[in-house]
Amino acid sequence: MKGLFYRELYLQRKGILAVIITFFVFNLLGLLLYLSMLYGNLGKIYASEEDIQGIHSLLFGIFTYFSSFIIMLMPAETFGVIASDYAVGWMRFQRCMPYKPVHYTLVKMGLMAAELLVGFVLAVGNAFINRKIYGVDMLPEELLLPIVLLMVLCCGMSLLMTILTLLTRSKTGVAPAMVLVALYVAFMFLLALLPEEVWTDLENWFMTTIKGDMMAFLKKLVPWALGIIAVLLTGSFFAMNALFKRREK
Amino acid sequence: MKPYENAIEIEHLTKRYDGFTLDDVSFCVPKGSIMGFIGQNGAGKSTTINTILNIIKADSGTIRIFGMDHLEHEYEIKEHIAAIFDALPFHDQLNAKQLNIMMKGIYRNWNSETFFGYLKRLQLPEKKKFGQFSKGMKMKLQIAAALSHGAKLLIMDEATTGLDPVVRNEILDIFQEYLQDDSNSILMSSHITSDLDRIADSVTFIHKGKLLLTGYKDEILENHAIIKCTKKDYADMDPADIVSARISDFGAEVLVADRAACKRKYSQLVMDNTTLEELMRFYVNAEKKEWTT
Repeated sequence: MKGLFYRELYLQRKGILAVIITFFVFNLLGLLLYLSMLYGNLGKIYASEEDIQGIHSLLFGIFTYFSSFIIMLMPAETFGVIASDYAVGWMRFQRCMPYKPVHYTLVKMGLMAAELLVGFVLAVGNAFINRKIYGVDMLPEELLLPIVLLMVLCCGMSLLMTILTLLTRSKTGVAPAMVLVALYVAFMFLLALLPEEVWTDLENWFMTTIKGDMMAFLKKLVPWALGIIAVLLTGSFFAMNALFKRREK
Repeated sequence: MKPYENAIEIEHLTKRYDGFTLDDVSFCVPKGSIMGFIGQNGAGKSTTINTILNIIKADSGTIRIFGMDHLEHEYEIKEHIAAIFDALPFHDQLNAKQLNIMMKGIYRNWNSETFFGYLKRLQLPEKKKFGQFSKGMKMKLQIAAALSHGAKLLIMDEATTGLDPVVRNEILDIFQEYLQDDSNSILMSSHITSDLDRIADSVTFIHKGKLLLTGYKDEILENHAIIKCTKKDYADMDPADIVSARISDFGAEVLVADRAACKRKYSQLVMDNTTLEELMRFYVNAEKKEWTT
């Protein structure tokens, strides 16, 4: 199976490198923005300390959590490789090799899990570094909660992409991940267009629903989150195994 | 592996699709031989090969490879099989060095020295990406990879289609060397009958999902003959003796399946040897009985 791992890693290498470079460049961009806020032109735009502190929190949020989302998209590279596996005829050639479908599944899922773990470690490290840089006062568990929830989201995307690949015989590849990212960005854009009164109403409704304490609410989710991640990854494993078991018509 | 007589034994293989049925196909590939599997496009050659390799599931029938059931012992068998398709199944980004590393970690019996030896012999570059290879180079690479893990059975599906005669001859020479080892066998599907004329020990001819002929090539060619005669002589022939007849303004060319009997019966008529290509053309038109070019 070593050969299969080598092949998978080799074919994903450019995608993985691109995601990691994007992650670091994105954070560097944040740092440059922050330096401009402190010592450069951006700092001259904002009059009060309160405004500047607000911008710090916003920058921290974007460059910590959006970059966490980026780095945890590494496993999506697996689906790009599956799409090209179909295109070149490797999926057919695999059936001529002395390995069971579960072996191919273990290789793909093993690499995906490793990428998710590396992404999680980088995201956590980044969060702690950014906390220092942006001077944000958050407890470690408060810092990590959104990252854990992002991991749930990425595992959910992984399961969705596996199912879509299974149903469409991989004509979709990484498209579902890109569609989800596009939907997320479109959603955020639409939210930004909403009038302020609507924002206030939404915020009030949300705070009432979670009974006012966001952090306490998120903390309740964490034990569930770990269980949900396990279930989603298990689901992805079985869906992926079904993909490799399925024969041509 | 236990001793075996036939590399492949297929009995009553059937696979149904909408509009096509591979119907009750049975044949054997004797150990140490090369079988040419011929038929027109869409005859069922690839379907048969895909069921042998368990790429598709047969509806009924049994397949034994090296004397073992191809499903029960699938993974044990596949350690000793190499499949060669009409397109290279390796990603364009890889090169031969990376393929060697990959295959070394996949097949227990992979031999890097053998692989690089074939690359050198076939003049294939080690560091060039496969995306930059020509069709002939890709086919040679597939063959080099197939012959480098000690496979006892090569299964090829239209592997020489689209290759120029020089490359085809090179490849056929390598197959003949491969068969110097009596324990090696080849099943080669093709509609390029000239390749099989040159190299095959036995042939199986399939048409519209049905088996028409199977057996040793020389025997089949020996048993068949083309009678060249006038239309009047053709009209006097017993229809039971005729496979099919090509009619032209100048007369008739009639394929018969029992040369010896027809030689006695029609001693006055000219009887010529036939080739696999002609056999294929006459048998494909057997339903019509009479046809023109």
